[in-house]
Amino acid sequence: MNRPSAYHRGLWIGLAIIASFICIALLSMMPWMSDPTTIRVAERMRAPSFEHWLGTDQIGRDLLGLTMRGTIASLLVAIGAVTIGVGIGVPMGIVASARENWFSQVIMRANDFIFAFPALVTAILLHDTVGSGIQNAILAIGIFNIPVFARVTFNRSQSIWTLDFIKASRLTGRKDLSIAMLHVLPLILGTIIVQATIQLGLGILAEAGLSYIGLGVTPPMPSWGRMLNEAQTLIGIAPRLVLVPGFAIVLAVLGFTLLGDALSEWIDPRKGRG
Amino acid sequence: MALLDITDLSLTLDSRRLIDGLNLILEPGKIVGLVGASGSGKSLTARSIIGLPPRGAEITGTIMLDGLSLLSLGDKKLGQIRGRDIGIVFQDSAAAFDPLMTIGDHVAEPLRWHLGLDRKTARIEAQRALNRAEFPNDIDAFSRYPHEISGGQRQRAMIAAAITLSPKLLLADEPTTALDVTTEAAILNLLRKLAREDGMAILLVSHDLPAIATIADHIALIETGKIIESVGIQDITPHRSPRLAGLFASIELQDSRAEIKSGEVALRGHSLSFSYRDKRAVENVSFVLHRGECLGIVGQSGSGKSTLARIIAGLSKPCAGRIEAIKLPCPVQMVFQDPSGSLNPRWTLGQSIAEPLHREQLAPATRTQRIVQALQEVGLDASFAGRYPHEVSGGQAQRAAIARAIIIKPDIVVLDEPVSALDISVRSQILDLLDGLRRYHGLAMVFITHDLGVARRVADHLLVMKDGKVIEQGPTAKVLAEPKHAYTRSLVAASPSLNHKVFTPRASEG
Repeated sequence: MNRPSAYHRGLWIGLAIIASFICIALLSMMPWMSDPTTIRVAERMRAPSFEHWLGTDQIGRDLLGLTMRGTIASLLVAIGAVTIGVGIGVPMGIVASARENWFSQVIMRANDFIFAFPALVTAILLHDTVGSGIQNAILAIGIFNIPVFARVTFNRSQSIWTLDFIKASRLTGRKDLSIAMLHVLPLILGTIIVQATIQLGLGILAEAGLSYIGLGVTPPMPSWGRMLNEAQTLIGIAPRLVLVPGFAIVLAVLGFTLLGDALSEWIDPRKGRG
Repeated sequence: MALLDITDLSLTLDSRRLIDGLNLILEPGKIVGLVGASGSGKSLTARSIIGLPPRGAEITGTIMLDGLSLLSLGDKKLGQIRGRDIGIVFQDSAAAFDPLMTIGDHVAEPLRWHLGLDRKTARIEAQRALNRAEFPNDIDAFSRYPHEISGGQRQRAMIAAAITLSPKLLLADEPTTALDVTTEAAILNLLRKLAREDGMAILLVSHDLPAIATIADHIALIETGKIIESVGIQDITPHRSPRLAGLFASIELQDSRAEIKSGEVALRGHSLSFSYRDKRAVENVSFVLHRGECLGIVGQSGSGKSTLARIIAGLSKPCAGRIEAIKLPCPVQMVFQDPSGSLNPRWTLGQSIAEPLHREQLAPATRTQRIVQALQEVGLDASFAGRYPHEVSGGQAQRAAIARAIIIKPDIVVLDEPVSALDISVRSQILDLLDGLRRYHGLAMVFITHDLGVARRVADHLLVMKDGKVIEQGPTAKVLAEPKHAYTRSLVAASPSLNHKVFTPRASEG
C-alpha cells in the first residue's frame, strides 16, 4: 500500500521503542545480571562510573539496573490492566449494543458510574481489601479500563448492528451471539487493538503514579514511580536519580502513543488523509 | 465568453489515471449536467475545480474561471474563491452541516468570513438568501439545528449558503440523490430558477440522468475519466450521441407486464400497525401477496414503506394486526438498497452468499456447488466467490446480495429499493434479472420503491403509501393511468422517469 511516510515513521519509532523496552525487561531478568535490589550502603550516592554506568542511589543500588528492572513492573501492570479492560469491557459493549433495551441501558450506565472513579480513587478503595502491591495497581487500572473498552466497543458496534448485512444475517436464522462473533467482533477488532495500545501507554503512566504515592508496586520490586518518590528529596544533589526513571516513563508512554496513533490512522485513513 | 473552461484536465492518483484529458466549457446562466456511473471521475472533476483533489493526486491541464487559472493558485487564494466565486452543494446535507450550529448561522458564515460583515447584517443577508432558496418562511432558521429539519429543507439551506455571496458558478454534486421524487423536482426547479434569474452557471454532477435531463441545457457523459459525449439537450439523437440516446432508451419503460395471475395466496397482511416512539409509522395496512406476483409499495421517504418491508420480512413485530403465510419452508429473504452496506466488507462474496446455508449440514463440495449455482443465476461467474465487496461494482455487489437471498430458494423475497443506489445503465439489468428469477422460481416479491417508473416496470399490484397509511391500491397499470387520490396524481406528475415529455420527443427527433 502506498501510504504517506509521516505515520509510517511514527509506527516504526513506536514499535522500536516498545521492542527495546521488552528486550530491556527480558535482559534484566537474565541470571548473569547482578541483582539491582541488593543494598550496599557503603556504595551509596556514587557518581556514574565504569562499574555503575548511571551511578548508585541513596542506599547503594545500581541506578541502571533498577531502571531496567522497573520496566517489568510497568509492562506487567499495563498488560494486566488492559487484559481486564478488554476481557470485561468488550463483551459488555457488544452485548449492550446488540439491542436497545433496559438491559443495555443498565450496562452502559454502570460503566458511566465506574468511569467517574479515577484509577487513583479505585486504588485507595481497593487498598483495604487487596493491600498494596502490584495486584492492587493492576486491578485499579484494570477497573478503570473496563468502561473505556466498553464504550469504544459500544460506539463502534452500535452502528454495525444497524447495517443491512446484519439484518440479512438475522433472516438466515442466526441469533445475536453468533452475529456478534461472526460479523461485529471482526469488524471492530482494529479499533480495539488501537485502544489497547493507547491504554497500555496510559497504564504505564498510571502505574508510575500509583507507585509514586505508595499504592502500587511495593519494595523490593523496582518501579519507576517509586524511584521518583524515593529520589524527590535528592533532586538538588543528584538530579540523575529523578531524570533517569522520569525519562524511562516518558519514553515508554511515547512509544505506545506513537504506535497507537499510527495504527488508528492505518485503520481509518480518513483521519490522516483529506 | 466561457465562465469555466477546463482544458485537457488529467488527474493521476497512485499511478492510476482517473481523469484523462477532460475538456468542459460552462457559460453564464447555463446548466451543464455531468453524468456518469460511479467511479467515472465526475466527482473528482468537481473536486479538482474547487481545489480539493485527494491528497497525493497529480493534476495537469488548465481550469480557467473567468480568466483566472485555478490550478496555479495557492491555498489561500483558492479559499477566497471557494464560497465567493464558486458555491458548492453536496449530496449529503446531513454530513455537510455542523450539528452544533443553527441553520441560519451556517448560511451567514460565508458572509462573515468572506465579507467580514457583523452578526446582525450577516443575518439579514442570510435570511435573504434563505428566501431566495425558498426555505420555508415559517421556520426560524436561526433557532433550528440541522437535525430538526427535513432533508429537503436542509438541501435548500445548503443551496442558500452556497448562493449568499452570489457566486458565478454553482457546483452541485448529486444534490437530489438522497431526496424523494417530489422534493427532487422542487430542488431541481429551484436550481433552474437560479440559473435563469441570476445568470448563475451550474455544474450539476449526478448519475441520475432523468433528473439532469429535466433542467440541464447541455449534458456531458463521462466514462473512465473522459468525456465521451457532450451535446446540447436538444441534440440528443441516436445519430449524434448514440450512448446518451441509448441510456435514455433504457429508462424508457416498456409496458410489458403480464396479466396478473390469480394464483395461490402466499402472504396476507391483516390491518398491520407499527408505532415507533409514539409515532405511527404504519397504520392499519392490509394486503394480499400471491405466489409468483410482484407487489409494489410506493411512497415518499417517511411514508412507512420500509417499516412495512421489515414487518413483512419478520425483522420487526407489528404492534397490531397479523401476518398470515402459507407454510414457508424457509424465512422470507430480503435485498436492501445499498449494496455496499448489505455485504460484510470483510467477507468474500462467496462467504456472504453462503450464509443462509449455515443451518444445512453440507459437504464443502456441495456448498461450493450451491454458491457457484447461485452466482450463475444472478449472472456472475464463479470467480466472484473469492472477491471482496470493495473489489466489485455496485451492480455486481447487488447481484451478490440477490444471490444470497435466493440461495435457499425462498418463496418470498422483500426488496427494499434494490435499484435506487445503482447507475441507470445497471438498474435496467438488475430489474431484468429480478423479473427472470421471479418467472423461473415462481418467486413472490414485495418491491419497495420511491420511483414510479421502476414500480411500473416490475409490479403487478401497487400499494401507494402516505404517512403510514395505504391511500390507494390496485393493478399497477390502472393506478398509474387513472390515479384516484390527489397524492398519487402528484407522485405521477413529479416522477421524471414517467414523464416522457421531458426527453422522449427530443431523443426521437433525429
